[in-house]
Amino acid sequence: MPAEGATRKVFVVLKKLAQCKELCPDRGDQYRFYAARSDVCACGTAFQDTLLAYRDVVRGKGTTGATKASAGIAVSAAFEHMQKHFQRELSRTAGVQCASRKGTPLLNRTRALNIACSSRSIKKLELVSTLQAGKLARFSKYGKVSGNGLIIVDVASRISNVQNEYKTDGNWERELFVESSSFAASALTGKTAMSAGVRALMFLTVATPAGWVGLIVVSAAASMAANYIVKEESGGWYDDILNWLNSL
Amino acid sequence: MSFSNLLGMVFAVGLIAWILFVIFGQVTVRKLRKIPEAKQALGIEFASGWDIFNVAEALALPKTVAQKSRKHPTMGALHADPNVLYKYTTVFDRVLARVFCVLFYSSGLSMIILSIAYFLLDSD
Repeated sequence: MPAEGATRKVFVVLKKLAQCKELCPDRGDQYRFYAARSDVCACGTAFQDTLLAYRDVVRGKGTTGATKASAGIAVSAAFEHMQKHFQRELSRTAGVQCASRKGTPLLNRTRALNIACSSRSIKKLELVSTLQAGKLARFSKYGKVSGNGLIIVDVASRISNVQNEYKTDGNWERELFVESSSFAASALTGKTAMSAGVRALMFLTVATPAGWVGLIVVSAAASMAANYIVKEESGGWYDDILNWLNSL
Repeated sequence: MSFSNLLGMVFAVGLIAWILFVIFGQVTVRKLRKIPEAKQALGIEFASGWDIFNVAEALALPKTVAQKSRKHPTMGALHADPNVLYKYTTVFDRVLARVFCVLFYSSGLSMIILSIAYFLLDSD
């Protein structure tokens, strides 16, 4: 069906837009408008739930009485429902949001892609706030990958320190204690600074990109400072603990 | 008391908090991840295990504050949804979350204060 294919393409474009934008602009009237669209998100979630149920049935873990055919019918019904809601919202949105003579990203795929690739200001991308509100799913996925990647890099450098100590016949157990305790301390401090900062940004309403950058810099500085001082001191703790154990 | 001893005590509390983090993750959050509705309500996971903090914060903060955080127009999705979490957690889970949060954030805060003191006073 051509109409269905087009809808799917628009959805893909919206997802791409969601990747490019980090924060929604703070505009009360816009949010009231987007709030009306939460039923589309609900339809999407319902569709996802039926798909998960279908997978369970196929794997033989579904609820009693559900067959592959009945689960399949539920999936296609949920899909139709979602498409219907989405089409309705699309036509309503396209009617309201006619800002540029080049057309809106919802009706013109090329326009949407151009905006996604070359937008110079956040304001242009405000339409994606719906998806942002829909749990920033994509963003969190990339955040997770980069977050885990940074941790892996950090851990790898710490392990190589321990290995160097071992290779040079140093006290590698002591080095291991120092590295792991400073890692624990820096993660602890960084997370505390991050949490406190997120609350501050939220309640002081300074959740702008500049605020985020500031928060990340402050948290990184806090965790580096904790890393530094614990590295300085934990060698002494290790010696104290060993002395105490030997004196028993 | 020397700076090193003070820092050591803060660090020991932090270590206990990390152990509680693992226990809380395995006991409560693992249970919540298996429930489809609750899985949607755990907040954003910036790195593996980040949702454990989200859940702990949502359960440890006063419920009204946690609800307010969740309803925030731009940053609500960062936080876990206390309404859903309260539905699927027991009193034990909540006590665990509160103990974990108090130990974790108090030791983190002390660590920040001690770092500032270290660099400001240039102590040893």
